[in-house]
Order: sequence, then structure tokens, then C-alpha cells
Amino acid sequence: MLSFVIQKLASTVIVAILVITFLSLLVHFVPGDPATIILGPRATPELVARVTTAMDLDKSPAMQTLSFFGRLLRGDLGTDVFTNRPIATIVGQVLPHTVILALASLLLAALVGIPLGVLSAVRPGSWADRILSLVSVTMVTIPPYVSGLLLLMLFSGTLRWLPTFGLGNPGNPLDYLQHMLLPTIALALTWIGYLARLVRGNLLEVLSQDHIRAARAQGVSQRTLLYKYALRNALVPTVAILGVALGGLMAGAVFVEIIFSRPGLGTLITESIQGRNYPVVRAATLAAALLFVIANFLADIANAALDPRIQLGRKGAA
Amino acid sequence: MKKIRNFTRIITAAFLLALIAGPAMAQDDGGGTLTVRLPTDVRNLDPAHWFSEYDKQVALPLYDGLIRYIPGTYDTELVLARTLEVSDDGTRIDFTLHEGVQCHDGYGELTASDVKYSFERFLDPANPSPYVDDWRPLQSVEVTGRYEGTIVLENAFAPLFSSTLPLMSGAVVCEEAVEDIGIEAFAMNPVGTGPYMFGNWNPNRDVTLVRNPDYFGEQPYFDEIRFVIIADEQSAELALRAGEVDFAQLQLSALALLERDPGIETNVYPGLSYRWIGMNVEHPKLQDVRVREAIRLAIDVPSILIVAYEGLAEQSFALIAEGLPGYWEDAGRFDQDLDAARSLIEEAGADGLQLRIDIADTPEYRAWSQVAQQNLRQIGVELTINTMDTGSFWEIGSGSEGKNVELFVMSFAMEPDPAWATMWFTCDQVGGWNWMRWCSEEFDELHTRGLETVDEDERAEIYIRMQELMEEDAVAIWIIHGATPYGNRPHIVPAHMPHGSPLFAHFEGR
Repeated sequence: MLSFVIQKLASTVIVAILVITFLSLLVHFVPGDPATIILGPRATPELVARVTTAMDLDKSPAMQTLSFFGRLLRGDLGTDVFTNRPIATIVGQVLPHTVILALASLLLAALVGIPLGVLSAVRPGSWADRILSLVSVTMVTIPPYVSGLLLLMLFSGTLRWLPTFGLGNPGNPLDYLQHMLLPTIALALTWIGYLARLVRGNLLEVLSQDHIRAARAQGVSQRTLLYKYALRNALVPTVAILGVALGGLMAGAVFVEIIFSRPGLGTLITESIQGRNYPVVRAATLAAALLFVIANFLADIANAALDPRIQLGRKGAA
Repeated sequence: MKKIRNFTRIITAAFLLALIAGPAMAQDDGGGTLTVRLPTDVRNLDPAHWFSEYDKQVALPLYDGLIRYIPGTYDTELVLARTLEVSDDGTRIDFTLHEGVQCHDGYGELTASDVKYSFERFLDPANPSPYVDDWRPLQSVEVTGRYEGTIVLENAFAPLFSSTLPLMSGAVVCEEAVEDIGIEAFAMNPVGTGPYMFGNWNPNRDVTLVRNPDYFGEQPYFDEIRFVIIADEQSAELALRAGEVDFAQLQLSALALLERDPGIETNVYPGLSYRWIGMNVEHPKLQDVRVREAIRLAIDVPSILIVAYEGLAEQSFALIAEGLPGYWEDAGRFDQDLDAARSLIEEAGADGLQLRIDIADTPEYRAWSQVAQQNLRQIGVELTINTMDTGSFWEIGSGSEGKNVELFVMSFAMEPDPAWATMWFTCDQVGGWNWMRWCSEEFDELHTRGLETVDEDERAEIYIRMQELMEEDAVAIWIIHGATPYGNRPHIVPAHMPHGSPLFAHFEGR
């Protein structure tokens, strides 16, 4: 297990390095002079030069990359040219809100999606299965920004049961939850549908395997078969997909955060792109990418713990 | 076991009920909190270093200037200054401050040396301000007493009284506070003498200003102003309808629905900015003035207004907006005349002309250019629309590359002084922001005179003549001066500049 973890960790670090290198060069792929665009026509050449230096734009791409790595190792992401605040602080303030939203959505997706998948798989072809299939496929096809707007218009606009925007008061758990409910549902819907389809398919596949049929022939009850033997095996690919799901949820959070005016990485990245604030775009994207990489790493480890064949790299041969 | 299940159900139901019942939608009836929607977060509230219109809106209630605009007019009144006298040649402005004006947060009494510090810092090369042009002719501020001083200029400077002193560049900061807090931290820890004090800022969430109990002037109506960040337009509309915000900048497309809501009042303000279709007079295809005149006669601006603004924006006919010195009431109305346009194209020998229009990728400008494309096709001119990323777009007119620009769509923001409109079309701006690459010595000379002319009537004549020059050479097709809708709950009485910019310190309740 240890060598597997080290191997996965090494590949995670390599991916992280590639991401950081790409992000450090990001500004060179974007047309226009960022300093001029940020400051507008009334900026003096001295001010443009000052912002250019502050954003490292006066250095060569190679030097920018090296400088970026060097500062990153010291935990320094630079200083925001607009607010003069450390960029690490800016990202650090919004990051927890996005992580909480993504994790809550993931939890909701798992809590609702997996039971729906099991319910479908228990009686394949039944009316319940057909209705659940229709519902779950519909959920998969609705992007979070559409479901977010619909939920917002219904529950906040028409019924006025829930607040329309913001984060609420983090010091007041009930208020915070009120503000988080609709964004969480909007973000989770796609993955509820997807997990329901995935669990249903996996479970049906496992239930048709020889060892399950043998156990059934030996008189093991359907309930024990389902929950003790089949579900565990069926959930292995589901756990693997949760890492990817977290990445997908982080991406979806961009839209949901904007629609619900929720502070987070999504709103930060969007605002920074609009303001051509590349150092903040770079730092926020880096945080999102690292979260994605770490989530995948943890999913790999969890997957290997559930299925020892993965550690031995023999899954394909098994 | 069953009891436990039932208990769990009760707890779950109670939790869900609590979750959906009574979200924080508290609304104050007079006094209390004014909740305002901001489309983006604030970034810098320092009068010398602010970035966006929203920075300005939030910062203005924190500071006082020597003078300020009276809401709803372009007239000014004294604030910090008890007296203000301008010398005959306009280069010396003597002021006397009110005594006993206190800086926020216990930074002591405001004196003439604070005024000196506030204005001269714009010219500090160590901390270059983007708004240095507001104080370009400033020589110094002489402090002649604890409350007395003189602003000394190299030459008379008319925008001083219209766009410098009454607005952000004239806001007086407390020297001790800036030095104590540090110029960088001051950006988000501002200290002034205004009717509101800075409360707190939750980045990407909200900014709160609280009433200054020691304010020397009339106390504002609201105890505090809470600016909440709502980027999405539809969310902002819903928040206004739900009463979660009291005042919001909206989008034009929202008005039809909101006007039917008895709980909301709406207003559309025309703005000061100028938006136009420009023509590069140096480009071989557009060098002949008859071709430019033909294009001007072919493009149907009222159609653009219907397509892009649902007919809610007013057409502009010249550079300077109504209400400012130099507003040209008799500017040419170039109604669409396709026959005349075709004749001009024929006279110029430009049959089969193919042109390109460069636009930044916004729905508004796509609508403009699509209408123009249809109109020009009717006179035999093929127009290709080149939609560009904003970053790329802002580069195309600069330097010698700008010679390749043909037609373009552009919008410039404005301060309430005509000089901020004309300054971009002088000869030295060719290769900079003068993308029409139009150069007129008379225009340049008038621009310089306009800056130094204090007499309003004389000044108005100067700017009207400058617009005549632009019109004669058919360098631009003016479209609008902006159209910004605002909505408010009925218990709020908003206060605005004539061009719409809200003045939150003057908001009242009913």
C-alpha cells in the first residue's frame, strides 16, 4: 500500500508542477497589455510601468515561471495591485466557501444518488426503475446554471422562502445553511442523476456475476446479497468517480456562485478575469487545480483501499 | 425504535422548516440600514487611487471636499470650505475651512494642511495616481493659516470646479490617518470627514458604511449603508423584488417586468459616457470624406437603439452630453437617407466597397454592428464584423497598427466636464486613443483654450465649435450617452447626479 501511495503521490506532484508551469505562463496566452487594460486610458506611463513590474510582466516567460515557483515555495502569491492585499489572503478567504459548497453538494449527491441507483437496480425494468431513469437522466442533462436559476426564481423569487443571494452570516449556522441550501441542490442535481445511473449499472453488473449467483443458490437472502456483497463491489468505481465529481463540482461552482452571488473561487476567478487581474486569476486557478489533483489522489487511495487489486495494478487482469 | 424514528422525523421536519422559514429579509422603514446592490466588489477607496465607478460610489460618502454637487443638478455648494474665492486670472483659489471638522476614528481636527496633503499627493511621483490629470496645473497649495489656504495653479483650469473639486479628486483625506495607516492599507481602511465612516469590508460579500455621529453638517438619513455584491443581473432583480436590497443598478431588459411591480420604482438615466461608431480617416478606404458621409447617412441609429436597448436609450447627436457646458443642441440629425448615401458613394467612386468593423465582444456592440451591416448592404457596401476579445480589442488602435483599423465601435467613460470628452481626439492622441486618427489644429487649439477658459458661455462656444469640426469631417456616428436603469423600494428616496450616478449620502426615506 505504501509504495502505491508513494507512486500516486509522485504522479500528483508532477501534475501539480505542470499545472503551476502552465499557470505561470498563462498571461502570455492572453492578448493585450494587461497593465494598460486594467488601468484604463487615464493611466500615466509611470503607473503602467509600476503595475507591469508588480505583475512580473517585465520579466521573460522563463523568469516569470522561476519567480512564480520561488514565491510559491515561500507561500507568497504576490500582492494584488488593486487592493494591495496579499493574494494568498484573498484566495484563502474565499476558498473555504467553495470547498464547503462542493463537499456539501458531493455529500448530497452521494446521499441521494446512491440510494436512487440501488432502488433502480433492485427491480430493473419496473415502473419505479423507469421513472427514476427518466428523472436521473433529466438531472444529468440540466447544467447547474440552469437549475440554479430555476431554483432561485421558484424558491426565492416566487415563494420567497429562501434568500436570493450571498453567504449569510458564517457565525449563524442556520443563516449560513439557509443561504447554502439552493446552491448546494443546484450543484448536486447533475451528480445525483449521474451517480444514480452509475450505481444502477454497476450494481446490475455485479448482481449478474457468478459469485453472487452462487451465493444466491446457497440461500443467502437478497438483502444480504445486495448490501453485504454486491453494493460494496459496485461502489468501488463510484468512489473513483467521486474524485472526478469533486472537480466537476468545483467547475460547476463557478456558475452557481455567480447566480447566487456567493463568495468563492468561482466568483473570484470570474471577477478577476473581467478585471484582467491575472495574478489573482492564476492563484485562484492554481488553488482550484490543486484541489482537483488532491481530490483525485484521495479517491485513488480510497479506491485502492476498497479494492486491493488496484494496488497491484492487476485490475485489468482480474 | 419506532419512537426514535418518529423523533428523527420531527427533528428533520423542524430543521427544514427552520431552514426555509423567515430568511433574513429584514427591511428598515426609515433610518436603519440602506441595502444597496453592487455589481462588483470594491477594490480601492482612496480618492487618489480608486479604480471603478463602484469604488467611487462607495467612497464618496466617506469624504468631504471643499465643494460638492447638489443632487439632481450640476450646481455646486460649499462643504468643507466656508469661503472660496477665485482670482481674476483663475490661478489662485483662496479657501477658508469650517472650524471643528473632525476626522473619522479620532484622527483629530481637519486643517488646511490636510487639504494641501490631499491635493498635492496626486502629483507625488512615488505614488503615481491615475487621476493626475485632474490636478495637472497644480503648483502647490499654500497654507496661510490653520483653516486658510490657497490653491495655486500654473494656469486657469476650468475642470477644477466641475470634475476635480466636487468629486473624488477633490476629496480631502486626513494626513495623519494616511501616514499612520500607510498608503497601501489606506485603500481599504479609508478615513475622511464625510457623513459616513467606513464600517467593515467582507471581501466579495459586502461593505458597510456607518453614520458619522460627529459629522459637522446635516446628519444623513440612514444609520448605515450596506453594499452587497450581486454580480448576476437576474439575482439582483430578484433580490430587489424580494426586498432584500433597497436600491439596485439594473439592466434595461429587466424594466418591462419591474415596472409592473408596485413594490419597485424604476428610473433610467442617460449618462455622460459617449459611445460611437468611429471611422479611421487615414485608412485609404475612408480617406474620402464623401465615403464617411455616406456611411453616416446609411446607418439608421434609431434602429440600433431599438435592437440594442429596446428603445429605452436616447440617441446622441454629438460628443458632449446634455447638461454639460458645450452641449450642442443644434447638432446635425443625420436621418437615414439611402439615396443620398448611394449618390455619395458613386461620387467618391467607391462602388463595391468592402469594410471591416472591429468590435469588443458584447451583445450591445454585436447588435450595433449587425444593424450597420444591414444598412450598409443597402448602399452596396459590404461590412465584415470582426468580433474580438476585449483585451485584443483595446490594443488595435494603438501605435502604427492603428492605421489598419477601418470602422470600430467604442465607448469612453466621462466626468462632468467637456474637456474629458475632447481630450482623446487631439492630434497627440493619434496612435493612442484617437482611433479615428483625425487631427485638426483648430480642434487642438480650442481644446487647450477650453481647459483654461473659466467663463461658462465662452467655454460652451469653444466646445460647440469643436464638435462642429468633428461633424464637418464626418469622423463619427454618435449613438448614445449611456442608459443606466436603477430600481428602488418605494420607501427609499434616492439621490442622483443628473447623469445617474447615485449619491448615497443624500438618500432619504419616506
